[in-house]
Amino acid sequence: MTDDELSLVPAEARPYQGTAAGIVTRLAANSLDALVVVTALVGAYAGLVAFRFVIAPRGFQLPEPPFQWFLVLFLGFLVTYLTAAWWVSGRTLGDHVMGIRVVTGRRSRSSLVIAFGRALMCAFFPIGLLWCAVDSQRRAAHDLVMRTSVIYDWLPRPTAPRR
Amino acid sequence: MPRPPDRPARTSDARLAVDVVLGIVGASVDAGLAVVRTAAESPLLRSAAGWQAPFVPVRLQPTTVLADLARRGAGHRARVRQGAERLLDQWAPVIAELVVSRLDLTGIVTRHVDVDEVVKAVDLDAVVARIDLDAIVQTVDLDAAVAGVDLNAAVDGVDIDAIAAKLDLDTVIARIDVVAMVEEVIAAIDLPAIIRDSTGSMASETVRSARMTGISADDAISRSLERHIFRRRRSSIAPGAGR
Repeated sequence: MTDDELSLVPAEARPYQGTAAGIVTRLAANSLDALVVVTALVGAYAGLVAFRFVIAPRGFQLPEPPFQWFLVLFLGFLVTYLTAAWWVSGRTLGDHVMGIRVVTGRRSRSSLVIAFGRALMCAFFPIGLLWCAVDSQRRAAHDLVMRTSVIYDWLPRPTAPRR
Repeated sequence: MPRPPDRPARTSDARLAVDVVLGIVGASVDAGLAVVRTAAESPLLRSAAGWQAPFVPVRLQPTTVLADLARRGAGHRARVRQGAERLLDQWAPVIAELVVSRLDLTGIVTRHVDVDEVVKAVDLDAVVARIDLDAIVQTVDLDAAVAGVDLNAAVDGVDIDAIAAKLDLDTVIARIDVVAMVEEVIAAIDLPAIIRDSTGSMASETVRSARMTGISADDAISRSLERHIFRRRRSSIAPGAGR
């Protein structure tokens, strides 16, 4: 008996367990990740504002950083978050919600270098994700470059990818 | 040394008379047979059978007379034979029954027949091979036979505890793939679904629904794009193929 037959995966999702994830699921996961990063960024900004208010309440003014700073911080947060998530568990919070996982060949998790390179490409070339819609193996541009793939994986532990 | 003649036994007069008559009849028959045999072997008679005197009518010729006599004799022989067969058919079973009923056939066979040798000479394998056991078994009403058996009484007579004490249950259990069996049971009852139903929350159902929706959308987009790409490829290949 295979793992998916005795897994916590619902019966209707078992045929997809370990297969390559499609564009919609990955877009949804990436959107959630972006939302997480924006939330973290807003939280950091709120923390900074609160810190400055505590330090100098009389001369307090709401800081208004330029958009470039916000963009740079967003990309920095995003790369850090994606790298850490893919390196540690192979999935971000958005991946976890959507039930997908980033795998490298037959290995369940990416190395730090691969995770970092993939995070850079995702952050600076997000449109490369659309390639998975037309690729026969549903691989995005960063998957082709970093030799990774994204599979449906509803289990808490990594599942070997199926061909 | 010459052997003295046997002394006649003392018998009754009637029996003596019968013996005398039988002796006379037997001597007459022997004399008649000797005369007939001598005449039949006589070359004179044989040559006379072939006479055909020109002055004797045809119906009185010796050959004609002999042929007529032979034909009559054949008819008498056939009638006598038929009568004898009828008598045998009528009386032989009765006589045989009377004879057999007075004989101890079992004792005779037991004393004079070596049954072991007879059985050895029989090819029992060939006999069994000719028997259609399947057909025989099919004619047996096993349900009726089993219904007539008191299984409870039979089982009561069996000491199951003693039998169970002889069993090596550890070996039996070791041969059973308990893990695989439990996995099949869990898969059959869909234990994950039960756990989800008992412990699941609205959030998990929402996540599950979102995941399945994503999978369905992925498949739909993949199919749509594949159809579109194939159509473009076909349309680009078709003009060249037609030339």
